[in-house]
Amino acid sequence: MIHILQELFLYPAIGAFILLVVHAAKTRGRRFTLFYFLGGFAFGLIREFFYVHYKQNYDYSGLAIKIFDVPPVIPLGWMFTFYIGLCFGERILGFTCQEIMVELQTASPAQIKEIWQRKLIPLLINVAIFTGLVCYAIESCAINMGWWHFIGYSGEFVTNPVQYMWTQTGIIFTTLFFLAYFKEVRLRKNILFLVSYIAKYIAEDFLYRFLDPIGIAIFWILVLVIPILFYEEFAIYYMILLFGGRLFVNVFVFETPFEVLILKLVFFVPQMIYFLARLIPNYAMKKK
Amino acid sequence: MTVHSKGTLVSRLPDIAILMMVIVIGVSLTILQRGDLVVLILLPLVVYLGIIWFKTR
Repeated sequence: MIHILQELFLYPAIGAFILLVVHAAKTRGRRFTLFYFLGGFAFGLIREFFYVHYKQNYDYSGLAIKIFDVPPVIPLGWMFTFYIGLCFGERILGFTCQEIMVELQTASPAQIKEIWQRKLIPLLINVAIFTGLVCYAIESCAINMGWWHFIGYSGEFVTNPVQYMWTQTGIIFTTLFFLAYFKEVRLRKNILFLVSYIAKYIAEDFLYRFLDPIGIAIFWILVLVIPILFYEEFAIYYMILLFGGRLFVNVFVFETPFEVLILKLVFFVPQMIYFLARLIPNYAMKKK
Repeated sequence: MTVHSKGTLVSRLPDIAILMMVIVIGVSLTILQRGDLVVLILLPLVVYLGIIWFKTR
């Protein structure tokens, strides 16, 4: 039975991933496809390697094939999520990465900053929102099906902090990809944003448990302050995400079926309102 | 061809891919005979996809 359940997930996941690679190759060209999928696979594999060896919050015993103790279908899942999020983001905002590439080639330094803040940041937020949605669906299904499970957690729905960290993984990968793919946007401010965000992420998920009370106080200041220092649009989204994914849960953490519903509403509804109000229709194109 | 070329099969591959995963999740939870979970787990994603498809149809 376990094999049937594995295959039910494994083959459609690989099939869906292949469809996305074909889409990228046909519509965006070889450079984008290699950058995105090879880079993304390496990113996903490294991330999972650290989680498997230094965090140990997942048990992947429901998936047989592994590379460095990481089932390769997991990095594929990351790519699947990020890429579809990017495609839907482009569709809803009304521009593509290829169009941005052309635009950047003739843009002045001021225009490059404008493109980053008015186009790439909203696109990044779209990927983040989509990542949180997919995380909830796939992870919740996976723990019920026994594809993998969280060590020390037996609920039926993935928790808000896990969705929050997934969403932030989407933010980190997409920023990394933008900086790698669009060389014009490799500005000091954008690189500093990425580096400080990665540092915050590592502190949040790995170093937190080793901190003393003063360290925890400094940590919370970093979590609250660092991401809102850079871009107005991102700061708004980050506060919404932080509230639903982390702060609310830290104050009202219950795991009965009824409270799970409340937690999910707190996570999804503000993000959906933000998504509808700020990003649709074509917020980035209209507002100057 | 651009990513927004409508009506071509290639341009719809991301939609087909996410639909495949929605079906996988739906079928998997149906095997477990948990119709309640199918609704609760897929609802946010389906709402999002509905918005995307409605706004960009």
